[in-house]
Amino acid sequence: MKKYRMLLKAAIKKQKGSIIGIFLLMFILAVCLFSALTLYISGVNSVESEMHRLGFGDFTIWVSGQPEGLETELESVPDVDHVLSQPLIFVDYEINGSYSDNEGQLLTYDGAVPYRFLAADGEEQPIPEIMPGTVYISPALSSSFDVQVGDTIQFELSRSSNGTKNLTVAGYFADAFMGSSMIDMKSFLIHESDWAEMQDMISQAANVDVLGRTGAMYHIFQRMDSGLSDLDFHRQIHESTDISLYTEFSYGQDSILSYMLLLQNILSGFFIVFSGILLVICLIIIGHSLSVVVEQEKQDMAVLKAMGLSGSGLRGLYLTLYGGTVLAGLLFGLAPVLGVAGLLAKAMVSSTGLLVRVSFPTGMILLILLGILLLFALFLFVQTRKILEIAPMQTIRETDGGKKVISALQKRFLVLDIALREIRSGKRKYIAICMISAFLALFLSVIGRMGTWLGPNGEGLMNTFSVADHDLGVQPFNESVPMDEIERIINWYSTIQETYELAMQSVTVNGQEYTANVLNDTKWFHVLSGEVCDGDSILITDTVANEMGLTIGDTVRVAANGRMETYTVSGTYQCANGMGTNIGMSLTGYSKIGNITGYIWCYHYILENGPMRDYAFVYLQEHYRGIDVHTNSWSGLSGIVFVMHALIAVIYLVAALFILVSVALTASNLLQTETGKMAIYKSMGLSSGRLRISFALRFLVVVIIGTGIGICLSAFFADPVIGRIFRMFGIGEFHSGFSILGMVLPMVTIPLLFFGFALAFSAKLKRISIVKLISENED
Amino acid sequence: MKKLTTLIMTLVLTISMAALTGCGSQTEDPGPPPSEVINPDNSVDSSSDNSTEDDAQNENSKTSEEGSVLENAVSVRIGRDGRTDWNVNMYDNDAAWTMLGYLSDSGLLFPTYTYDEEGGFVAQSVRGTYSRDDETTITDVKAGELYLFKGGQLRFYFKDLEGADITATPVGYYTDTEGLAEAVQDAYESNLDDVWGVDVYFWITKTLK
Repeated sequence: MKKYRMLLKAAIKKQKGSIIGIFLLMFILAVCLFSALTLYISGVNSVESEMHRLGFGDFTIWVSGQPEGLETELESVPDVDHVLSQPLIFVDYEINGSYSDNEGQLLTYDGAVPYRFLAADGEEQPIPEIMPGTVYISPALSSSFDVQVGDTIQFELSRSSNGTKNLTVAGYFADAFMGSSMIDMKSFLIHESDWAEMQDMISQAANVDVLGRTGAMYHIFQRMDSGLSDLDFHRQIHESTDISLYTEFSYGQDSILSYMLLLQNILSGFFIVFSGILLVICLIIIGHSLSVVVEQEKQDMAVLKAMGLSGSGLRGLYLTLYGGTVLAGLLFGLAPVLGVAGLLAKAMVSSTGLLVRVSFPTGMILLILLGILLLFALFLFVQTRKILEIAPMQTIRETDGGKKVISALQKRFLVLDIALREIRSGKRKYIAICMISAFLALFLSVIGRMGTWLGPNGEGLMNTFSVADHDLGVQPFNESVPMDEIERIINWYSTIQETYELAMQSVTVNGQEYTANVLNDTKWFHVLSGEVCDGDSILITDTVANEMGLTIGDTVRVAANGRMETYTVSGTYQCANGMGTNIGMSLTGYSKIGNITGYIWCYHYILENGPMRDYAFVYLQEHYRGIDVHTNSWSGLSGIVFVMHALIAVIYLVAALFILVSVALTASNLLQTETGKMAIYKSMGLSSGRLRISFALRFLVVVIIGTGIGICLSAFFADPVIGRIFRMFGIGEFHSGFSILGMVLPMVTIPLLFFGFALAFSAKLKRISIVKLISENED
Repeated sequence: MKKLTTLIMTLVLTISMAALTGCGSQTEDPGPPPSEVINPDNSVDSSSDNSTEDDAQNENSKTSEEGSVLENAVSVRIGRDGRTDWNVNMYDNDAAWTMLGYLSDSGLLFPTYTYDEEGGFVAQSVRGTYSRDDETTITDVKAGELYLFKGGQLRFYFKDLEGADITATPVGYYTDTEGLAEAVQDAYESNLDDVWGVDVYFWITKTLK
């Protein structure tokens, strides 16, 4: 036992570089993987428990008006356990000169719903005394409107001269239902007296002038013994009550949870997938490193075996050394996990709208840790089998030859020729590098393709989430809006190429509530399959098709405003709005069930010079009242674009770190085995500089091949794989095409990084004299 | 050699940053639009000669289009349960074409909220931005004629109205007016208990090929 301990100490000393490298790789892997897992699990637990604490129902319906007896009616539905209601006021608002695209909902704070109050960084604060004239907001608003404590929010309740109520922001609160930047409607907590005053302002305004309206949230809880699915329960409520006459929208717990954590889950998901790639790379590097060491130590091991040490003992030695390093790297990687996840959670407060309480998911992490250890143990066990095969005498007699390569060296391309000759003579040594670069190129290319699809301003998401492409949208709310003047102004900023109109109205399809996207010109729908809709048919998204089990040709009953018609499903279309819970209708189709003459229509413009939309947007917003002007964007988009771009940068950084460690390990092994050869080349008159370039060129050549393979693989598999992931978010179609970020950047950076690092690590060739190199080789 | 390594790393960083931050060009802010764009009527008429020329051109184009009709452009059923198809010819002008743009070969259920028995018309504001180039003054209005008024109000006269003296853009007319007034009155009366408060519904289908 003592001799094995001595051998272990010697091995650690001799392979110090490899051990440190492997430790670092495992450390990075553990930090990436476990931080992402911790953030993901903590996020789900935090928001779920907060929703439960605040009383969100199995699903919640937002209604307009305060219909008498509706709550009792809901409670009488057989499968309903109980119903909680929260009165509210829907109202448009303006912050710091920016008019919100969506209404806000005003709630009073009376302690019945135990909201948590927060500081700007998300830390919990003691419950304040809410003063009249003040308002508490979600921290997510600070990212979309740059609003701070002390700023004023103008709530527009009616068009009359005194129809606006100004409230001063006094602080923040955690809104677990609508706080996320991914949800456009925002809640505002106000004092009871302000609420009553605003209610009066609405009730006293003339009908034509009313802008705000009262409403309520009905949190509906399903009986524990109810056997109905979510969809059937929803349907039962709509069919047994009059709620569809008042419904604005409704969401189940799962939908709200997805919205609240969408950005955070995207971030965690990418890091978990990236960690998977790093895991594979770690296996390749460790496998490669181990095989080089076994090859180098073959003769020593043969001697040791001849001296009586067993093969399994030597195998155990290497298993302990490498297994121990892997375990140490993983365990040390666990230490900063809570800190990293906590930092990420804090950075995401303006996206999630509340501070995720990060807690260590011990069970899940232990399970994954055990799984990874088992994988590595099995891998090392297989990799070290060569040690058992070393025959003492035969090996001692063997002379190291390697594969003889006979190839003429040309003076003109001497540096490159030497590099190619070395690659050919030791192909196996370079396979690992080739595989690592292929994996990295594949992943970076996939990430790059997604980044390109997203675009510098999120155009990719804009077009998939919006019903139809457009640059600018203007929705007039009354007849005094001079649309001809507005169009002249838009046209002055940039020639209007196309115009169409869109209305987004709440309807029910076979009793299930969806948003109907109604277009006066149906050619703008992004049809995926089948035909565009007409007066007797509708389009559905993949999400609706899956939810309701519908296919093209099926008939459905669509109802709104108390009227119902039967339509045929003419096809499927792309619109990820509301996670795809929407349908497409034509103007003529909707006219049968909805009032098409109201101010429900938004004029969409496609401009010749798209970027001019931002200037037109600002001008219209500043100079016209009674309109909602918007670009093809929404409040959460800038957050997604920022996270995606930051993610690409971080992943490139981690990839560069991995390349650095991989090159360090491989280069030190290669330099150690090739000292003799290097001495010979030096004696032939090759300068250290040229030898170093030749050494780095080997990496460059191999990595170019590997990167090429990775890019080719991504060209074939990236779109279908990303498309499958995107479908979970209601995005039915994904095409990336050629892109600099997806193809050129990995193709250039990966080889250059390998080349640069190899060049840097070969510096020790410069410091060692020829005589020393020769003498070291003889040793 | 140190220089080469530094150069490579700088190159990698530069390429990465350029690709990650995007190389898109910025569009310059043109500032606020000039007053003649916002309100052409109030603009200083520094180009009165040109204006006269334009007017003359418009006059010419009006003259050339006068009397130009899109025959059998629209088919209309009066009332939500109406079964009789009424043929409407549209004038070949911008306002009529804008209106036709909202129609398709599927029937559009069009609600009207103003029924004026005395004035002999049914009216409703319609969407879209309309050119008023073809606006004119009409002294006597005939049953079956369709006019677009300032502000986008569409009026369908179902009775003759002498001395109406209206200023509007003629957009079309019913080819057959026999029984038209009765059809509109019947539709109005059968719709008195409409939940949305609609006076008369029309099913409108574009039949223009």
